[in-house]
Amino acid sequence: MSSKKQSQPAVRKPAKKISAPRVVRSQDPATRDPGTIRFGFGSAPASLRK
Amino acid sequence: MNQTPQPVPAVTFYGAIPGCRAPIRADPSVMGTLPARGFQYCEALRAASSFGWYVFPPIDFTLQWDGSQILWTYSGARAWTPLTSAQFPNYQAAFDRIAPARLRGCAPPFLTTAREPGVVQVWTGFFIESAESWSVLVRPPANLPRSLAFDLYEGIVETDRWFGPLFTNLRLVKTDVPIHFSTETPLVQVQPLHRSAYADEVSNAFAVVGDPHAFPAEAWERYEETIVKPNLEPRPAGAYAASARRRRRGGCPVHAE
Repeated sequence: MSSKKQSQPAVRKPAKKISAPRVVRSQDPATRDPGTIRFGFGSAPASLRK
Repeated sequence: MNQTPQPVPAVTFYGAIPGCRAPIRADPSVMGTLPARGFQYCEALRAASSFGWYVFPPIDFTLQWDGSQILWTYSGARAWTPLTSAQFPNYQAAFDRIAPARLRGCAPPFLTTAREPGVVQVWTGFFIESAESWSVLVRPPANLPRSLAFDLYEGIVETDRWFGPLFTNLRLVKTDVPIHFSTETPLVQVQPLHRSAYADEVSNAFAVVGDPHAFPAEAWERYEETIVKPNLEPRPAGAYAASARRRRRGGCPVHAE
């Protein structure tokens, strides 16, 4: 009986790692926010003391 | 019969960023993603899915969180930028041209990080108002498979009294991977809620019958009618859906006599 070697699953290359952002700028003039307007719970004070 | 006319429209969306994708009525097929069987026969799925409106991000954008800092970029940007708060691209000047002079410099930010790690507030580009005594529930799109990379908080806003930006807060979950938001995928589902529906008096007034021995005869009869009979004497598929749709066509569900 011939022992046919079972084919191995093809070795898969590891998924390409999503690269981190390559170009990071400290500021984008088109989206600069003066910080005048805040709303929502993000605008609430961090302290729980009233 | 309707005694009180339904407010028309119940909710008004004001597009504050010219050219943004308009909200659309939420879809009973959840943009074609519901199983066909559910779409055809399950009125509960259809009703929940199509209740309210889909609202989309105002632009394609991407966030990446490393557990501490959030970077973001958007369609058309040449680089990533650390996020604390950001205007919609080139919006500050556009807002100042459109808004009354006294409001210049007061454009709402598009993205704002909260103090809590990984929490980002996203403005949809719309303001919202609702008819008197109506609020809106802002929530993730119903029955739309969700990204595992972030969660959305839900909120009920009394938009008949509070006129302002329609926004949501999301909590980033995955770190070190880009998390993409597309104008093709609804970000939130906005649902009108009559204030009486979520009043404390309603939520506090509930009953529990904790033991089947205590079920009144009427409960058994109703179980027999809705569940047992259709199994023993099969009716056409979708009988509940057909009856629910008939009832809905019969009149206003809020003000029905």
